[in-house]
Amino acid sequence: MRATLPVTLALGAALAALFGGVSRAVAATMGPLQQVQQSTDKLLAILKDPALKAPERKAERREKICAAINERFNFADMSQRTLARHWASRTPAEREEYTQLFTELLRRTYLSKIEGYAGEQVQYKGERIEGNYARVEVLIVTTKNIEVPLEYSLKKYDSEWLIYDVAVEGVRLVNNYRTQFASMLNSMPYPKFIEKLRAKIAEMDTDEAAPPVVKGNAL
Amino acid sequence: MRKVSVELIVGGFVVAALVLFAYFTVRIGSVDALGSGSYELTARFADAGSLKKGASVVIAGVPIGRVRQITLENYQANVVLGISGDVKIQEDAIATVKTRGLLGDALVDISPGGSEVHLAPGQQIRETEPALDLYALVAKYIFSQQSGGGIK
Repeated sequence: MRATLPVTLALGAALAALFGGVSRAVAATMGPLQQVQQSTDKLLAILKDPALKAPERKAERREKICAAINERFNFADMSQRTLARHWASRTPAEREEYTQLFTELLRRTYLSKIEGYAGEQVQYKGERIEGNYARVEVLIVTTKNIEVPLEYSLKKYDSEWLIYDVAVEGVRLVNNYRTQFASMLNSMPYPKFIEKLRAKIAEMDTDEAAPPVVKGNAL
Repeated sequence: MRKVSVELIVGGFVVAALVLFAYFTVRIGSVDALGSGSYELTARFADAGSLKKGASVVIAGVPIGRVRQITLENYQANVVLGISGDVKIQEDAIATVKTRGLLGDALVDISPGGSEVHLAPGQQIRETEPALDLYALVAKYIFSQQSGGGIK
């Protein structure tokens, strides 16, 4: 649970490329760290924008955040990595369906955390590039001065670096879901697994409709 | 005549013991020494924890190889894994340094990926998770809880 806020912010970081006035052509010349930084800056701008905080603009704010995240994160790649060896035996339609469900699950899990941004600082520690793959290290400093190390894993597509995994304190998001899903798929057939995934998403929607009275900080 | 036979028997025992000792040393120390057909992969960890040469490499808890070498490279632990030849590792597999039980030995756990591309001998498992430093984590969050409550 400790990971939720940083992952949230990490997801948020990806946002920028979409909304920025900077064109894709300019982004092309930027390294992975710069692209992550640009995305993060833009996401933070949206989160800090007082005009967007108005209750009646909540849907618009959420939409902007989602659109931005979709651009920087490669959810198709993440989906394949989480379903892991079960991915190979799925039909293209099933893969499509799973990717959609998994993306929805991530969105519901982290979006409200991103929206609850409370002034955390983001420090950039460095990047390592190996061919078409890169790691970007980031440190999130909370308002209570807790430092949470994050590491983005990115893959290059043409000139764009897209995130396919996030590690918080060394624990990888993809491996976390991969392990959970693998153990579920060991004990139930694939259609039942999809059904459970749908049920989980529906359950989160219900929670969203009736938010808890006390909103705790993710950390 | 009688004296010679006693010496022979003792000698026989010693030789037998040595052979058994050698056999078990090889057997326990390294699977690879007896079975051929293994190949090497590397993995780079931010923290290898208490991982040692000879530690098990497992998938789903089943041993599929051993750690052959651990060296420092670019301030990270570069670990060479000897993997059984009949086990293929996908390029998006994730290698994690884990500990079996509370006081158990460290091992490398590989979670298989979904890619159709398999790693060739000598290639690197790109995705890794370092050994978790539980003490550091516990200390960090206990401390943060305290300071969070205290500053207010």
